[in-house]
Amino acid sequence: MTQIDILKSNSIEIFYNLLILLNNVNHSTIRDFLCSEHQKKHNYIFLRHLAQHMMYSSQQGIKVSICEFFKDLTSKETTEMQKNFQHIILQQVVALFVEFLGEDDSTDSIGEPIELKKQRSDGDDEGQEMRDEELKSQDSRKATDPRVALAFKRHIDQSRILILQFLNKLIVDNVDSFQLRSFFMSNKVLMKVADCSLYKSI
Amino acid sequence: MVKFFKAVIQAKDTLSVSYMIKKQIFDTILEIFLSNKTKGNLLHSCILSLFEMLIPAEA
Repeated sequence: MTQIDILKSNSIEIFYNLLILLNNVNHSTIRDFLCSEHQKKHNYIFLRHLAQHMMYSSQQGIKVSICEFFKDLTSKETTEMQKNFQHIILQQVVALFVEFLGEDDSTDSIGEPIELKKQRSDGDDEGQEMRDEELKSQDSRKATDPRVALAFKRHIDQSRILILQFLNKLIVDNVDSFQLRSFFMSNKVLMKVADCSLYKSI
Repeated sequence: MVKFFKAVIQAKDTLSVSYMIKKQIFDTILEIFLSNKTKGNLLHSCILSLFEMLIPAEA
């Protein structure tokens, strides 16, 4: 575990505990922050980064903490605000998760975050060459060391399981069934989940 | 995965269930069931309870 990983793990854990344990911070306040104009202006970067960590972090603790955090955020309240929040979660978080579930499981694509792929396809980015080299070295490590490739596969499988757990909770707590159903059908969520049967652990 | 589909059925949304039938998702579930037929495990009971949920209450 590198120092950065430990820092990430600790900061997410501290943040999560703060959100959950402090009496004066309730879930609606957290939702207010997540839906705020500031976050909207930055394309809900906080939620998106959390989702990226949940999918690609190699630390099981981080993944589980974030998944629990997402699960805690959903609620059965049928207020207008909760519907709005569900809409944001669907568009910003679940859309990423669904894209991840539909990803090819070959070693080429494993461990490469969606945003990185998008940036790669965009072309002229400053850190492009550096990232390419980093990814190449990751790929070569995966190709040469079967243990590394296996560990990657395991992380990705764990992420898939957590995503399914979160989707499960989303259905159980669903606030606006029409919104949820239309999202699921337009993004072929059920098909992509069914395709997960290819992975024995799921 | 089976739990996810159970939650979809439990939501009693007939449109979603008919979508699942149309997209042959139950075939996939049945395939999982048949590929594990030699093992009497938790997966079996989970899949069986999923199919039980599809039977209307008055039947």
